[in-house]
Amino acid sequence: MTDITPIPDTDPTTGTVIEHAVRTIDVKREYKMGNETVRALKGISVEIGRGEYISIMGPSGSGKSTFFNMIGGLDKPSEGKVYIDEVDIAQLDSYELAWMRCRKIGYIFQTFNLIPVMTALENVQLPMIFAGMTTADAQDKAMEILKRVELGHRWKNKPTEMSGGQQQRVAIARAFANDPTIILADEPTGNLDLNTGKLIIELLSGLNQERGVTIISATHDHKMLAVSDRIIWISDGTVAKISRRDELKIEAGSVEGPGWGEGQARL
Amino acid sequence: MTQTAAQPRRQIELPLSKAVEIAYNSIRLRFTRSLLVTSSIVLALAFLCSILTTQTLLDGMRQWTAAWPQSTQYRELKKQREKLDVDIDATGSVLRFEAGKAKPPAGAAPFDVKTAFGKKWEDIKSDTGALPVTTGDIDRILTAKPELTGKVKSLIDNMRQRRVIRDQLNRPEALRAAMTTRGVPVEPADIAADRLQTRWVIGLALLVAFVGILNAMLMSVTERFREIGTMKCLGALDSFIVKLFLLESLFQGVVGTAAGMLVGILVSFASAWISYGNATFWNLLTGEILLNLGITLVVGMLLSVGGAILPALQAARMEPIAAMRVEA
Repeated sequence: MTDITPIPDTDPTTGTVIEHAVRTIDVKREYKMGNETVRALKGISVEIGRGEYISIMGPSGSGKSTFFNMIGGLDKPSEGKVYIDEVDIAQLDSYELAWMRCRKIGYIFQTFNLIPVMTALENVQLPMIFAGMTTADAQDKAMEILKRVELGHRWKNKPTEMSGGQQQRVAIARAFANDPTIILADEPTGNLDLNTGKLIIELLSGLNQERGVTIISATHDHKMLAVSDRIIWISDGTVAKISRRDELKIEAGSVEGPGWGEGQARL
Repeated sequence: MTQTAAQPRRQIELPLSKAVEIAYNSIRLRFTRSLLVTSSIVLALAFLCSILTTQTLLDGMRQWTAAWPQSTQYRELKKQREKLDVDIDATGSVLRFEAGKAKPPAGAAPFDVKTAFGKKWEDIKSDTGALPVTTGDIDRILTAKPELTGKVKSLIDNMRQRRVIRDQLNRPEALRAAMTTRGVPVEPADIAADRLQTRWVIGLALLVAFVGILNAMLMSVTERFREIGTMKCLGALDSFIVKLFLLESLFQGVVGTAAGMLVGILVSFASAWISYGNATFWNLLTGEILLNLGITLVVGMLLSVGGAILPALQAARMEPIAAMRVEA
């Protein structure tokens, strides 16, 4: 594909080499709920390299969502540091955060979240428009990406005219619109049937290989684990375990979360 | 490991045209929802416009009645009536004189009014009012002296015309009477009191419309929290979200106000015409009517944009995490 700009490993302004897509140092997050303080994250430190495919697993209430939002620049830590592309997100003002969300991070949601009044093409174009691209350029590029997710022929369909799998593929195309460094996928297969989910996972891992983009996905889907380089298990606001894919294969036959006994999956 | 922080750049402000484009599409495709907002604007503004216009039409008619005795048309008509009075008096005295001595010859054909004047005496008299001599006398005179038929005919024509002129001269009284029967004040003190009352009613109607718009826009924000969150995830600035909502509301405002103006104008003209007929147009204060339309337009814009400011700010403050929430 011609439109792919390789993700720079060096910062264009400082020329320093960037190794980590995401780095967290002892991240804590506390919420006030009435008079009680809920400690959702109790100090998490992880390093996610460029081009890695990461799955975050954890039961609901484990702090998984909070952590996921944190590394997506959607939430700020109460304590500790979160670096996205070596930028401390706590230091960013709203303009810089918006720039970051627009250029550096691509979001994929469980509920697809396409803009209902826009066509597939317009949806993919939207982040490019936000990035200041001209409509003509954005159109060409959006079309290219739509073709990559094999939906070139559905470009003028509205989300309601497409199946869940197709909508999610448009959402993936949209996430890739501005050649982000990081793709954040929140349960991307959660609303899809088994086979469609499998296709989406294949698409994501294909794009991960081909573009060297970092994919971080919060998931319950064990199919996802098979393609992940590493799996971060979150439990009770801390990292319970980080496993590598090859370690998983050794466990042959079942994936066990540390302690919460989540379902079995053939890998 | 590299620790040097890379420099993030700042997100750019999009040109207004982009926001316009997106807002326009959104409003077009959310037609039913926007119809709800628009209808409240249409109703309120139609009400405002019709009240203002009706008032202007009434003002025009009141001014006309006051100015009538000074008008040249009034003086013309008066002169014409005096001339007719002279003619009618002259013919009247001739007929009275003839009536005293007219003796139709025996065997003469009786005078047939229907062939001579085309109408029966009752019908003629309803056009002319009381004639100087009785119809029986005229019958007698014309049987005796058929050569006077022309004179009688011109008398009837003159009297008929005098009646028309009298009605024309009395138009202000008739108009005032029509207004009074419809409860429209004609005295300056009453007019002022009526104005004050009308202002209250207009104010209440606009308040209701404002609350309606506010409510509909808040609903629209709540319905679209996920969409707003998504847009923010894609890099939309708060100011862009605000622009989007204000523009959407402005479009609805323009459409609603235009429709409201049209309805208001039509209703006020139609009702004035039904009540006062052509008097509506005798003294049309075009300038003031245009001013009313301008006021309506400005109020419509203010109402729709003003009602959207709070919801738009609420939408802009929404955290992008909202997009992640799964519950529908």
